[in-house]
Amino acid sequence: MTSRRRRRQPLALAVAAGAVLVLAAAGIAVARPTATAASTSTLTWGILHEIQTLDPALSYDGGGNNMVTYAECDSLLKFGDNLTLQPQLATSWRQVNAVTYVYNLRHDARFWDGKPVTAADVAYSLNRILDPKLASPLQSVVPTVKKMVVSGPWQVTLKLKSPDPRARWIAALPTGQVVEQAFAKRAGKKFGTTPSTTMCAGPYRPTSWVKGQTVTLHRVPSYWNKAETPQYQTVVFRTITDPASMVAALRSGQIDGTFDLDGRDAGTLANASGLTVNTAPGNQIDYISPNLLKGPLKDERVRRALSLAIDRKGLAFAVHGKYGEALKGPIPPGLSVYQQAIFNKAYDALNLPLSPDVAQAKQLVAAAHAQGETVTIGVLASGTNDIVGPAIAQAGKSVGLNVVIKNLAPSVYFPENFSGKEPRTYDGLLNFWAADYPDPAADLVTPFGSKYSNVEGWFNKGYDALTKRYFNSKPQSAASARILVQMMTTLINKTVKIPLYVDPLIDVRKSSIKGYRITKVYFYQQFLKELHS
Amino acid sequence: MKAYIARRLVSQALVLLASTVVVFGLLHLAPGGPAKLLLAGRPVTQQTIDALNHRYGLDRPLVVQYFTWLNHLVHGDLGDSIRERTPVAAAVAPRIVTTLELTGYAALLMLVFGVSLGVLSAVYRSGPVDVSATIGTLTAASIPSYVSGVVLIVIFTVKLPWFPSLGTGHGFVDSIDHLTLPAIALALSALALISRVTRVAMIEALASDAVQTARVRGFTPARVIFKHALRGALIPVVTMTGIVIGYLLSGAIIVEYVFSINGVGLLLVRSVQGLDYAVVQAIALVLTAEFLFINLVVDLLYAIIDPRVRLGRAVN
Repeated sequence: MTSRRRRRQPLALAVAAGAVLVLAAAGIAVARPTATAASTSTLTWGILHEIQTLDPALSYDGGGNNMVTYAECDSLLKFGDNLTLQPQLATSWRQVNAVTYVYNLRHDARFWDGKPVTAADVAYSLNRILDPKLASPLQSVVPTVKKMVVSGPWQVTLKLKSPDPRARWIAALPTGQVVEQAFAKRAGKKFGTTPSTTMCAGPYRPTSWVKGQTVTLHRVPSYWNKAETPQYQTVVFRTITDPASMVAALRSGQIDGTFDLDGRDAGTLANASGLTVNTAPGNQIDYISPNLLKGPLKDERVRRALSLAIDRKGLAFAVHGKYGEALKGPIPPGLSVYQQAIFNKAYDALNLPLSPDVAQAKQLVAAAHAQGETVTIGVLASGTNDIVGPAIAQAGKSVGLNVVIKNLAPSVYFPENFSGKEPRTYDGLLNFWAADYPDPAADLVTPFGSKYSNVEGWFNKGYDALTKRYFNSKPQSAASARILVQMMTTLINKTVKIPLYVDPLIDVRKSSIKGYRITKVYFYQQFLKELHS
Repeated sequence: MKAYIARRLVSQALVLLASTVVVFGLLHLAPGGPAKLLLAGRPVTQQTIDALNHRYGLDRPLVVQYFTWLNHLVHGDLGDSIRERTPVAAAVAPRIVTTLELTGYAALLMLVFGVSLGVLSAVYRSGPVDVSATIGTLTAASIPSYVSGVVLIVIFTVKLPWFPSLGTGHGFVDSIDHLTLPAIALALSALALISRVTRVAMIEALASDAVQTARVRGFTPARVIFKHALRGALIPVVTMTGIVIGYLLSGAIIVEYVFSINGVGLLLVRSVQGLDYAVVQAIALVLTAEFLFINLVVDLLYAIIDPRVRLGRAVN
């Protein structure tokens, strides 16, 4: 053997090894079944955030976790077509007076273990949320609730501490989801921490939970509501933390759909083969919370100037592409399911342009003697805010304000936002809020009900008087709507919030999957019942 | 050897203890508290926040909190996760296994390909193989894990459906299938280091008297390279491997994020963001212990590779 041939031995070995690896990978690829066609028995749905709990009383993320708990737990009422309240575990309900709601229960609803859903279970389910020991985040949804009592063999009565028109939604929210009292008491702190320590009455039951990865649900064969039995036998909610990976998973068919993409990412899939992108006007609003208690934005003229300088249409497009929607009010347009003509007209009439008015903004800055003032705005560090932050800074500079954007890690941003401090640290915070129910009160009343959510430090006797009048108004009446309209107009005229854009609702799924049209409260709906291949 | 190992274990225990104090202190320097983060800033009552703080002992002085945690640790109790409302062990244990599988697979790829490329580069020094290997590995090293992960997903999951892009799979073969792309993304950047160190060490070893003698004696090139030269070159490679594996553990966070793998890296990030103190302390403890263990193994390997090495003694 020559020395040159001997020297080539290691190289030949390496080439042979590499060829074996490539052939093995190709073999695996050939053996892998294609994942482009939708199964009719299993649905895999992508969600951005991991599931924390299977207990409906602790599930309040407006996203994947609520989707899971709504798949497993029926509620007293549900959001039906056009988001009106429809019967579910309750067959009927009525408001007896300003502080009392009565619900009549169906007799044939059953938990997964076959036990009947009783009035005691219903009352227990809500009352445990009120117990401080459970530390349920849903307490914020029921600030005026005194308790739920059993008022008959198949009847419960919701008693309020004081009049609150928002209370009518409680029965359809996570606060209205029902768990089995005896089971929950036996499970104690473990309730909802594993599939075997959860007991509800919904169409699906969790059978597997790989923390941070998947929750697998199986259809309950004995589900009491035969008319609404879902098609899919198995549903897998898969956590995909990276939006780029979510897009890849959709393209490769590893998931069947998702609601958790933003407009830009969804736009890349608009022409993807085998996928359909549906959108609808969104619920979550993005805005600046100016600090009304200190700093340059304490001056209404400076707030108004910054607000006028912002190009809302441009921002909405930059963040969400063609699906973006500029926002001129403290509520998203089309939020309300009642008195829509009143709210729509008032929203259109709000005195805030969607395109910048730099000239007027400069005048306001001059009048306030605020030229060159530094305004520090805290922003949650994220890909989207890398666009929004500089845009706001540029808008401020265009009218003579030195706007400085402070990118804050989540561990700094959220404690600052929820601190309850009066005043907050920064001159402003880039903020977001999603209404829990299709009612402007969720955006106009609730945020100012607690120091933890009153980020702006808005204390105004006129606004408080309007709030009091709202609480004493007849729910969903024209009078009630007009009070809310006054509140909405006040917040804009006084520039208590600086609205920016609405996050659109995005529904991307395999084209073969039909049914269900995404709504503003999709996370509180049992959309799985309507999906089919 | 036994005495050496015993001394190292004692010193490592002290290092672990010190690390818990540092991590605990740094965590509590962060503003805010986990109760408000857990409740997502919703307007709950002060009574609820107080109840949550009391349940997790957060209303006690810091020193009391630390020693309470330490006392529980000694009895095998890592505490409860505030975010998940479950014991920390239940939250962390399965994820640690996942991260170890990922980093172990990446380390294997890194070693096999890194050492192989380094050997080839040294044997065919200055030739096309050497130049190609150098360019290739340095290019791979300059690409961040996030970018390489996304590119691998696009090519090998979307365009060529050769591998899945999500999760960890079930069973050995399925796990290998799921972890191949993430392990490649993690290993790529470290591969260049191992390759370069191997190359330099091999060049030196190939020029040594022992290797020259082996050649003169007519041994085959493969035997000369792998039995005589490579063994002599392994010491620096083992040293670098120990350091790089520590880097792989921290780099796993990004790869876990891209591939949606429920490893301990992602859990650590979320727990820090959510001020889930007990989980962060547990993970920090485990990762520190792993790093110390790897260093111990590296030191022990020296003695195995080169019998002339006497552990624990000063160099003459």
